[in-house]
Amino acid sequence: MSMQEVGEIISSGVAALDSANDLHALEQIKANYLGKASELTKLLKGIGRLPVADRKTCGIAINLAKQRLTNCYNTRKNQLNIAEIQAKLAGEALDVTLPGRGFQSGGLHPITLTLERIISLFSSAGFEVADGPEIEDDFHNFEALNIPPHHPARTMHDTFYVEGNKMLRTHTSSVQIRYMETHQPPIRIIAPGRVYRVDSDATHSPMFHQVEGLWVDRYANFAGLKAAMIDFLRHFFDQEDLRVRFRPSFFAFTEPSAEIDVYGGKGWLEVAGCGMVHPNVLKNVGIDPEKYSGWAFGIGLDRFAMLRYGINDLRYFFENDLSFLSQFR
Amino acid sequence: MQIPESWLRSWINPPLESEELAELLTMAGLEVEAIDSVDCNLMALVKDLKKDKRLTFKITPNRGDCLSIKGLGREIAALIDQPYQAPLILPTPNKHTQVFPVHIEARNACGRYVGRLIKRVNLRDGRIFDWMKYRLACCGLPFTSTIVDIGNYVMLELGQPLHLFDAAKIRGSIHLRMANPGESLHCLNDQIVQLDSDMLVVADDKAILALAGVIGGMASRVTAATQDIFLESAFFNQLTVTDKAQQLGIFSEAAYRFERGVDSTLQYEAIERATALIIDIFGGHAGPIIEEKGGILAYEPIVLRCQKVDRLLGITINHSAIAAILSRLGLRFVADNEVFKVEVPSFRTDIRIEEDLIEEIARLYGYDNIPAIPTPSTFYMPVRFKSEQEPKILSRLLTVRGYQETISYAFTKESLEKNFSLNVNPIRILNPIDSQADMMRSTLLGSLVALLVENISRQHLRVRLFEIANVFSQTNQQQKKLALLAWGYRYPEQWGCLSEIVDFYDVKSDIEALMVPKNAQFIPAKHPAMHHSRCANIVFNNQVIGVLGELSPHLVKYYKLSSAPIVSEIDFRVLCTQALPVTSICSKFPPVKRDLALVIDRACSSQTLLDAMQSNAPDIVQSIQLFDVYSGQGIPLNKKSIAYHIYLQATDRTLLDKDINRAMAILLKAAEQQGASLRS
Repeated sequence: MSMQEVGEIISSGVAALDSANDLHALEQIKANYLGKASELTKLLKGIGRLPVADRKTCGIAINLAKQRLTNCYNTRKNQLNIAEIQAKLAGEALDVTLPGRGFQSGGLHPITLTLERIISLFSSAGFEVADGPEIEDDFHNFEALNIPPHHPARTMHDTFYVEGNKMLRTHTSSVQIRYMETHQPPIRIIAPGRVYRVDSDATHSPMFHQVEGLWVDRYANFAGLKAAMIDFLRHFFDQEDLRVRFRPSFFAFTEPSAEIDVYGGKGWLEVAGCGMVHPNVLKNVGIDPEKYSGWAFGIGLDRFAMLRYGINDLRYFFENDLSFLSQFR
Repeated sequence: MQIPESWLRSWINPPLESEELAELLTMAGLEVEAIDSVDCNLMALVKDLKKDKRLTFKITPNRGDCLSIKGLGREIAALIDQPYQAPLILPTPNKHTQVFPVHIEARNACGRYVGRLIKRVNLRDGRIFDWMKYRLACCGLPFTSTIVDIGNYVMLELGQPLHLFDAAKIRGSIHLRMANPGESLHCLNDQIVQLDSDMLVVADDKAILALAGVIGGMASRVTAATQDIFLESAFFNQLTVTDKAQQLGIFSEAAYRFERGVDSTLQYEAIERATALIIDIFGGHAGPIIEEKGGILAYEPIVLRCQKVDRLLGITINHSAIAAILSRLGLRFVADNEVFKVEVPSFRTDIRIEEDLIEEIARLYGYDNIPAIPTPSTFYMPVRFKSEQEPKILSRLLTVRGYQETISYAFTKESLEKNFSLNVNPIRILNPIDSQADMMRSTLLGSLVALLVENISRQHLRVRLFEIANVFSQTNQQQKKLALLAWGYRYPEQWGCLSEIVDFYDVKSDIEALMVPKNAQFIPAKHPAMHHSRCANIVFNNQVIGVLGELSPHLVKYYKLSSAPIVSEIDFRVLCTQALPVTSICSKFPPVKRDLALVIDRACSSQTLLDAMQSNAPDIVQSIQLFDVYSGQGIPLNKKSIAYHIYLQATDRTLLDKDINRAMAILLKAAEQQGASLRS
């Protein structure tokens, strides 16, 4: 045996192991070079026949060769293992662009979404949400709000009447009365709800929604009303520099009264009515107008939804076409 | 109200463009809704009129004083602090002495009655002035080219409604009295109206001549043949006239003004103005003016405190500024320190209390000149309305489960009420806008099914809807409900998934999710809109809070649906009541799962079996979960197999086989008592 022989075994073994294409072939080559019948094993077995002086160096050389080939085998095996896993995973590929499975979510009505926004803005300012009946009596819908029988303001409200001397409330202002009948100042409420008037076209619906707001306290005043409304409108419309103007108007239950306009690019848009609560209204619910003052406002929720979403016909809201509604998520 | 700008400017002509003038008035509460150009042919009527605009005003009901050129002129004068120029009105000298005696019998209804007889007018040859025609046409008033136009002209100019009678038709005296029940009037517009005892009439000794302040009578009307005219300029009490025209279905410019308040001192001026115009155009001889007074309410001066102005407006407007504003508005006052005593002129029928004056001060000061100053407030933590905090969570939960919220009208029609709630006594609307919407719905189900039908026609294959709204009935008046509807495929149509139709149990799980952590029971029930053996009452705390079921086959057929929707309606307040979950500490010892498969009569409800097992279960039985229901091969006819996972666990030890076997035997025995047997 010569060292040259061992060297040749190493180089041919390394070449063979490195070129093995799969684990099976690799095992074959391993057996050929490192197995019982391999050259190296034979050489190792024949070591006893060598001169004593050579035995040690030969033994070392053979073991080194074995070690070298084993390392080489391990490296290649690792490589082949990784390749095999990768090939398997490649076969399991998904089309990640296929649509996801399961339910599609539905959505809330744009009027509800708009109302939620308004409620959250006023809640943050300490307002409670109040509620009241939609079928009202004359006292709560008109009289207590300083609209006695034959008051010309009644002609502004085309009222639906029902049996038993009752009516469908024409505004959520009736909730002011119901709330003040059972609560003492300080009062801060908003009252959203459905209201009804005998009217129907692109901008009027026989049923629509209002949000009433009421603040009664010792220091409620017109300057404060302006501040609150401007603050609310700027937040609602997400416009820091929104132009808001107040102009004198008439509501039987407020004095002074104002309409609120916002500037909508092309012109002024009427968005709300408001004013200082009329002293008769406070007296009607047993609150002393010399001690307390209040301000109130009323906004058309549907109109706010129309402005927010850029919709120009109120009737879409009540047709409930799923294709229309599903846009509001 | 519409007016030509040129007419207004003939009274007061501020150096402002049309738009600026409109802005000035709008910001003072007299909203100019539109500024339109005037038709050229119309403008040709007036010589030297180069340009003009038609202004459309939206006058609020409190400002009756602004329903005339005079009123608007007066308002502009106050706003710009300049006087206005009224046309000169000279008294017409009397050419005869004849008068009709006037008797005001209803003194509370008629405040003042001013009349004049003008004899020998020539109605055939007189021609209305072109400029007068132009102004009337611009105001959009019906135009007759007769003496009637003069009445309208003076009303528009001064704000005083006038009426003209054919004097030959008046017998004896004029009486202002209330109508007697049963009396009727043949009106100028050829309408015959029945009068009521709350209606003021102008009558002679024999018959009714006119419905005061609303409309004249046919019999005493002025015709081309009329020779002598009786001219009426009266102040009728606001409340007397209010609603009468509307009640009788008549639109009347006169009533419109009386309802909103006419100046109680304007009558003399108006009758002189009308007389002069009549004689100018139609000739004739004027007689003496007769004036009778009834009751006109007198108002005490209003006390106005500077401190109250500050308190209500939130800014300080000083004494002299307040005084200046009052003067500009023609409000006379005496001032004493910080208190004014203000006398309100007769034309401002809207100013009665201190707050009304404060509005006037704010109005002339300029709403936009009042700064926005946040109100100092009392701190307290508002309790949210109980049913308003939760709805958001419940409706969000439904949207996550695929439902779309809808909002329908609260109106419904008889057939829907009958089909969906068997309600024979609904709340009816007395003046519906549409005969198909003449009552208030007592259930939301009809609305949802109607929307389903519409959305199917728009090619939707899978529909999930819900609505939260009040429903109305004679017994409950108003109740808030949640209704939901599911129709079509169980899942949205998609790849790798079976296209199955939604059923009762799918929607039941939605309702159970809404109820969590509350536990509802479902008890077989009958409902007019539901399949009679696929319907359940939803019961919570021993109270029926709602219903769930498959739409009845006859309604499915009626609406031509390809499959039955599952619908449910639940009392919303109950859903909103919050229940805290009952918690317990979880055991550290290993849990054991055993299965129990039973065979039982098909008619037996799974609830019966479950209740029986649960009420007998030893403590170590943590839960009993149904995981399979089967009938068919291997199960006798009329029987079904129900299989449960039984979870067992003790809190103090690891369970031994004998514990487990004992518990399972007890469960089996309880089931057997209900007629179940172990599935072999």
